[in-house]
Amino acid sequence: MRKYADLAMIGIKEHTAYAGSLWANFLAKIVYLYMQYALWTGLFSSNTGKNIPLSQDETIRYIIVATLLSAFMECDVIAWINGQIQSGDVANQLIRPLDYKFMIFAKHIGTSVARFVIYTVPLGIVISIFYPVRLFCREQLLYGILSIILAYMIQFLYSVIIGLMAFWLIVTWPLNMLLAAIYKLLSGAWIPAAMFPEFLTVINLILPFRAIYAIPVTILTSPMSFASICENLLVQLIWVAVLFITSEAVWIVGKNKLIVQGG
Amino acid sequence: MYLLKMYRHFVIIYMKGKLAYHFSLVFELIANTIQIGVYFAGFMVIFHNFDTIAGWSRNEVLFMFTTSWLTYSLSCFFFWSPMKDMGQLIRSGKFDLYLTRPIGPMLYIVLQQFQYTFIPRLVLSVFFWLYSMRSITIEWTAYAVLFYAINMLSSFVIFSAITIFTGAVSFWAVKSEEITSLLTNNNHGLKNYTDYPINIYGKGIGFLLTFIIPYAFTGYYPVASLLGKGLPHPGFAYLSPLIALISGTAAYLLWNYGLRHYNSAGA
Repeated sequence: MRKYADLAMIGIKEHTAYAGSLWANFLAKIVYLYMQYALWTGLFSSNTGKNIPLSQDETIRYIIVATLLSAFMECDVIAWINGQIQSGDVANQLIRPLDYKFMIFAKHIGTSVARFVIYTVPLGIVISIFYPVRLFCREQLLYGILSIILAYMIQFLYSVIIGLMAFWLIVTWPLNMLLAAIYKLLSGAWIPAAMFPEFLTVINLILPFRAIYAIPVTILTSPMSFASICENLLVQLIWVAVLFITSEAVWIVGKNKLIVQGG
Repeated sequence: MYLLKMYRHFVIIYMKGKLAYHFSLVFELIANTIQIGVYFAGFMVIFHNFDTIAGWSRNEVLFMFTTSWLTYSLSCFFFWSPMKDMGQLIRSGKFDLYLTRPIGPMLYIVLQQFQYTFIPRLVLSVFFWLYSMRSITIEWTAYAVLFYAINMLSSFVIFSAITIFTGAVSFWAVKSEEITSLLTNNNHGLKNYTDYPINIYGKGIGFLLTFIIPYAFTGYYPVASLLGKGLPHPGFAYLSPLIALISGTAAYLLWNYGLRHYNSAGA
């Protein structure tokens, strides 16, 4: 356990080493958030009386919470694994007496903690000054947090599977770019999933993306029945199980395929 | 004329180099197509539940932002890659190489490459530009066509000037990549603000996009005038050529000033 905690510390240190770009990243999030706020406010105020799945308040809160979550959930797990497999560095990781996936996970947690402190907390403070409303449904906060934890695991396992594709692919960035684009749209990190047209909702039912943002953010920001909360959490649990088994299988098959030249 | 000839030679060499890895070239184009395609898909999803924004219909907004994307892609063919790399060129000392060429360094770094990764953006913009044109009401009189064409040209100059500006900043602040990203990133860049009518933003942002980083003149003001939208200052619709002239000159002067004061980082 101690060793994994040290790995998490490395994650924190690596992330905070370049303080210069942190400011630019933080500013970028504010630029993004204000644009989304203005866009949705503009849309709602010029379409009053129309039947829209979410109310204006819910939409704005959704956008804010999704941005706050993505500020610490999104890490470079795919790039780390890609890089280690392509450079052959993964061999050095394999000879360590630690589990590879847990090592990556420890580093991921460390990075998330760093990002939470650097981005999510100050962003939350800025938002509470300029948009002082209650962001979360208090009664559902506990389920929301549980859902975030599940979403965090799904996001990690998904990233591991995509990262391990480097065992088979020589060039990985086109796949990453393709999936990043789909992920951005379908996960609900950008547009509230409730706003999706019918066919996207149907496609989304069989894909894991909505379990990463759409489900936890909706639980946190929109009042819903206990039954549908349970249903959503169950969907997330199923995805954790499916992705965990898939990632184990991909790891075992990929590892046997691995040949590292030289030493 | 000799410039065109030189550009042709450069581009042929450049593309030969890229085509040596034709798989990665094809992947690059596909990946870019998907990235831009998803942006348009997202735009359609956003408007799925809504008809209008600030008095603009969906297709009017689409027409406005593809107008500015068209000129942006064209400008990026020439300026984006060299200006994005300026920070790197200066840090590594490679920029000194261009100072020893028989043509100006700006001309050289622009002519020696062709940023084909913007082709998908251009193609998709043209597609949605034509798509949006079917359902908007603009009377294409000779005057309107001329007005639109002049504004396209101005918008090209404004985009190029802003790109050159971000590149020229590298002469002083060695990390200009962050400024470039803040302005033009596909997810959170300031340029995205101009994909929608700017009267949805507060006054401060309107001022910023009009007078400080004049993105609003690349699409919003002229197109609003063409579509007969009420602007708070109707005269702004005719200012694009002037703004283009000012920003172009400013970028030119800043670049030259930076060049004169450039001390090599050491080779």
